[in-house]
Amino acid sequence: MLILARRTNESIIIDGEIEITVIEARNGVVRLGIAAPRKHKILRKELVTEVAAENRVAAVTHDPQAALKALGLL
Amino acid sequence: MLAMLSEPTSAAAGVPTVAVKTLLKGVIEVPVNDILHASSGILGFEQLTTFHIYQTQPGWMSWLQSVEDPAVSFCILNPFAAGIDLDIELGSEDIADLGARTADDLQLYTTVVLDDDPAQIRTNLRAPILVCRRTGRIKQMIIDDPRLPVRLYLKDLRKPAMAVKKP
Repeated sequence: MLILARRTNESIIIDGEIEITVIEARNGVVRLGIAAPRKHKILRKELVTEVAAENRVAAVTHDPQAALKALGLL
Repeated sequence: MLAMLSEPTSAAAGVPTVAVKTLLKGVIEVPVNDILHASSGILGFEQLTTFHIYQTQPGWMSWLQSVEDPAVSFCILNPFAAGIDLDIELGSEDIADLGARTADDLQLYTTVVLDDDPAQIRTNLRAPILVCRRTGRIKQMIIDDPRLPVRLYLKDLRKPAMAVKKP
């Protein structure tokens, strides 16, 4: 992992097309401005982690009978 | 909408089929056109890239079966058929990614968490699964919209006030 120090209003540029600017850093909260082509999907990591975790719970990897029973309960 | 799935394939004679081992229906013969390909996979299951969608009973519930791993199967539902008031904005990139020409090429499903306790049965509106029937591509997309719950409990659907509010 690359670690860089940036001050407010300073940026980094990734691959010549993604610019991330530090807008504000206060009380342990950093506000970032991100300018990137729309092809880049930008998400908070905790959301990705939450969806992956919910997918793992959703996967019926065993006991299909219980799943069908649950389905019948709907 | 789901009833249309089998029409084109049953009509086309001579389409090669693939034997798919399913969790709930045993081995079924699936026309190659109905094998779905995920380039980015289902989050948490990135190693799985081919799927098939089938039903065990008519209605808005279907099963998303991994072709590679017979033990992995997801219960999915068609939220519109289930009466969920869903307001999702698809980006043109997402549509293009799937090879869809228009939004009409796409089918949308949401994953369901099944549970022995009916009160716990829920669906994830924040990360729907999109299928392009024309290209056979499938993708789970995360919509960064806090109005879409990751856990919409189906028991709440029966209440008059829906959990998903319009803006």
